[in-house]
Amino acid sequence: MLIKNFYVVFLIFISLYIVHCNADRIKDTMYMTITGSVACYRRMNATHQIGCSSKRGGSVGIIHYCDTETDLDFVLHNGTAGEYIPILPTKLFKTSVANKLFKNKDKISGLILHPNNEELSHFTHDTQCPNALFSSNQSTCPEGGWNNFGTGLLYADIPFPIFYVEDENQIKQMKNCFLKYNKDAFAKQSDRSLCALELKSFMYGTTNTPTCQRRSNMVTNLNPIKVCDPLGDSNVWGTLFPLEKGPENNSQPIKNFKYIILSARLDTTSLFEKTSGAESPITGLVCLLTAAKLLKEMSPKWNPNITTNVLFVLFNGETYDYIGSQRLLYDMERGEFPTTLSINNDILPSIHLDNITLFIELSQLSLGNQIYTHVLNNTPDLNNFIGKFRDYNPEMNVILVPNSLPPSSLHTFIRANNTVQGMVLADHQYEYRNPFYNSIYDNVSNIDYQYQNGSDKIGSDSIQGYVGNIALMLARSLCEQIAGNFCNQSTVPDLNLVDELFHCYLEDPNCKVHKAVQKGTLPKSPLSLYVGVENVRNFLPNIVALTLAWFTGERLGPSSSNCTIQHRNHIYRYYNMSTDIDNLEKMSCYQATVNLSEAVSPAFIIDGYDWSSNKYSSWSESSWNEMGVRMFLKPSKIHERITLAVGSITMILSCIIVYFIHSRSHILFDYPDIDSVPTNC
Amino acid sequence: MTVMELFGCTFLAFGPPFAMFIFTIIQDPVRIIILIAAAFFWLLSLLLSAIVWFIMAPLKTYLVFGVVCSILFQEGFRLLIYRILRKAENGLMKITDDHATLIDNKHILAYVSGLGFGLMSGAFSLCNVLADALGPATMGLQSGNEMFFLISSVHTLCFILLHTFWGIIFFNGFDTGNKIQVGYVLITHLIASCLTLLNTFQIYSATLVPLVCVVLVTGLYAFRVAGGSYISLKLCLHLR
Repeated sequence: MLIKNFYVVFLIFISLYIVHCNADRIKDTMYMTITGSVACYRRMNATHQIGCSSKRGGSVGIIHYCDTETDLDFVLHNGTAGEYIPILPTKLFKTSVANKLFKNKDKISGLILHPNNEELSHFTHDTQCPNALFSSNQSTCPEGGWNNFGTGLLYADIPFPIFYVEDENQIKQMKNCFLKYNKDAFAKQSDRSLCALELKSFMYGTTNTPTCQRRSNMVTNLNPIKVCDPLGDSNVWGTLFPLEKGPENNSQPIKNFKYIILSARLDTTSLFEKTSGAESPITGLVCLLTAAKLLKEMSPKWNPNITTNVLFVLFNGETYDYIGSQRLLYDMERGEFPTTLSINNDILPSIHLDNITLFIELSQLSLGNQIYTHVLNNTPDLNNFIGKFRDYNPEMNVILVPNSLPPSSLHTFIRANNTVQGMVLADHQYEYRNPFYNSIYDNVSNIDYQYQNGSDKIGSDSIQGYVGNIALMLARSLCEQIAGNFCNQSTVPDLNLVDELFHCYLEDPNCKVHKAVQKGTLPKSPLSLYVGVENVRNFLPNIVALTLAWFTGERLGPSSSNCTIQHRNHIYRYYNMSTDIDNLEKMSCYQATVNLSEAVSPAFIIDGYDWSSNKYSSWSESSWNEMGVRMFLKPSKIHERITLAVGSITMILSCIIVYFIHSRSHILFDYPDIDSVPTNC
Repeated sequence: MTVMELFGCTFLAFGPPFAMFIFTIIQDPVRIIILIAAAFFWLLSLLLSAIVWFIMAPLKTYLVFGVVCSILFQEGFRLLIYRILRKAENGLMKITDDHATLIDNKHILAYVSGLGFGLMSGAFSLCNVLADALGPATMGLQSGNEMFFLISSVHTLCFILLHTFWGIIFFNGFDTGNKIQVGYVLITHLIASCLTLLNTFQIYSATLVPLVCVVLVTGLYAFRVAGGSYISLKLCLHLR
């Protein structure tokens, strides 16, 4: 028995060892994987599907490298060898070209895009009026659209897969393969093996969100398959003053607060599985964080004379029909914001839409000497507040744009209550100044940002200076609004900190600010600014919440292990964080009123929600199994047929011959007649 | 390789053995059992040569070592199955319906076990390639050319046929004590296998032409050994 067991263990070990040996396989010489490709994928709303999907198992097409539109036309008209996959520079990916490709979808089985180091004048695939279906009732989209260059391709149902390949070396490999096998003797292409690509990005979800949600929830076996997931993540919110008063164990909620909301958005999107998002949303986000820090520094400690609080909110998922703000509003309407405690509890006040006196949203910002304040319904209060902007920042040209509201979270609140007073601060009047809105090219060079790494040369003519300036203007005006003359007006923004914040979100997540607020190591590449699906949470909201807590928190003393286990009552959060950005070792204990709230559309949590009501955002993202691109030689049809013919003929002939030999074996093989030989004499 | 190519190559490599199986083996259960047993013995030889290859770590990189070692094991197991079959003859005679032909004509057992050897070696040499190759691509991007699969199939077919012929010659050699026949099998097996080593240089014609010659010569030899002659061939064609 013992020996038997020993053999079993021995065999298992041997087999484990053998499994680890990877021999060279024929496959490795046949295929070349194209690395660093990002795919376009599929999303669905209540009525449509958008984005791309390959065929199940991958779409195969012959490479055609195009430098100009003429090259593309050539292959569309003269291609004879089946389906093609053109490789286009992004510059050529215009509406006209895209329509041409859609029209020839039986000749095109996929598309590869690459940057080609060319200067682009514009590249934005959002619609001209983003989120128009969920805007307030008054039509606010100007003629030509906010996003004038918008092609709307982001919302098109593209009939073939698209991959974006940034790495020039990979493109060069594909180009060389094309030149070697495909380019010469184009007319005779169908007679020979050709360089081809296989694009794999099959999407399980189809049709629309109700359909794919129904399919996801079907319990057909023990291992249910999700075909799509709702988009969603978390909103980040924080307040300037605590929401309660009194000593630690006998605190009372402050119920009569009025609130000013200072908000910005936290997400962007792009046609591919990669985002940049420098101007939208990072400029607004950085400006909000800077303003929050300034406001904390200049405003006095809370006293009963202060009846207005500032609520900082960073909405997530706003790109997809205002997911974050709709959910926040939904929670407010049900008395579940900031917590799900019962209404009129004696721990925390609940915040309602009626408590909000002013809503200020920071939209896209870019270098200039003016700021546009968009106001839908002008009121004396709003005018008064805009007057403060002008007083506190005489150099900045504050321009009022009446009866106008660019796409912003404010739309959600005005849709619910027409009397909400709000304004949107942006760098544009009736047309975005950002030619790369919601695209991969909305990067640092789009906002002329250069990391200064602590140098004191950051001028007011840089994006850092401009954002700091707007933040100062906002903080001073807000402080005066809530605390009158008790504000410390000499506080100025720390431009190095602004610089660091941009660096954190756009270039290196392991920057000084992030190291100051937490001690973990973040990924090396910039954090994704795409909202993602609800069951896979991003790093971004958490790290932004920590940063906001650091900026608006109260310092309680030196850091200790007692800090984070202090009395909590649903509202305070305690953190050990570095005191100073230049000396990360010195730690303090911070108490902050900052938290996350759900940013998943109410459509997915209401039982029996009527999908046709168009009340809430209904975006979901299809799930997929694998994504990738590989290059190989595709055999010609003639070669395939010859192989099959040779094989079949051999088989049939051999059948005939073997039958013939077998039936005549008694004549053919003159085997000895053993019986005639005496074997046992 | 596409589905069409896959079927083409499979038909080419396994079509003739399939025909042999259908017309000459399937009628008699004992033949099927012997075929499977022979295939199993070939597998055992592969296992042993793999273990030796695995243990001899410094020689792993030399393909020649593996090839020669494997040939010796294969021929060793051919001898083993020969001995077993000759011992089992009396038992087999009792269970088969067709004992007259099976036992009287000793070449039938040799042929069946040779085909078993060949089928299993063919399956091992080609199935890996075919399985890897199931997809939209053909060879030639980084090395080789598009004829690779066709050539591989022909190689496989050649080796299946060779194993069958070798089986007949080898068994007869031991039956009659003819050392030349046994030696012939060993030498041609070495030659044919070492020819395939030239495939690394991708000059397929250099291996394929001699290999086909070896198959033809060995086939004729086996034909002679099995009792065939020019006259019997003529007779059999004339009767038609």
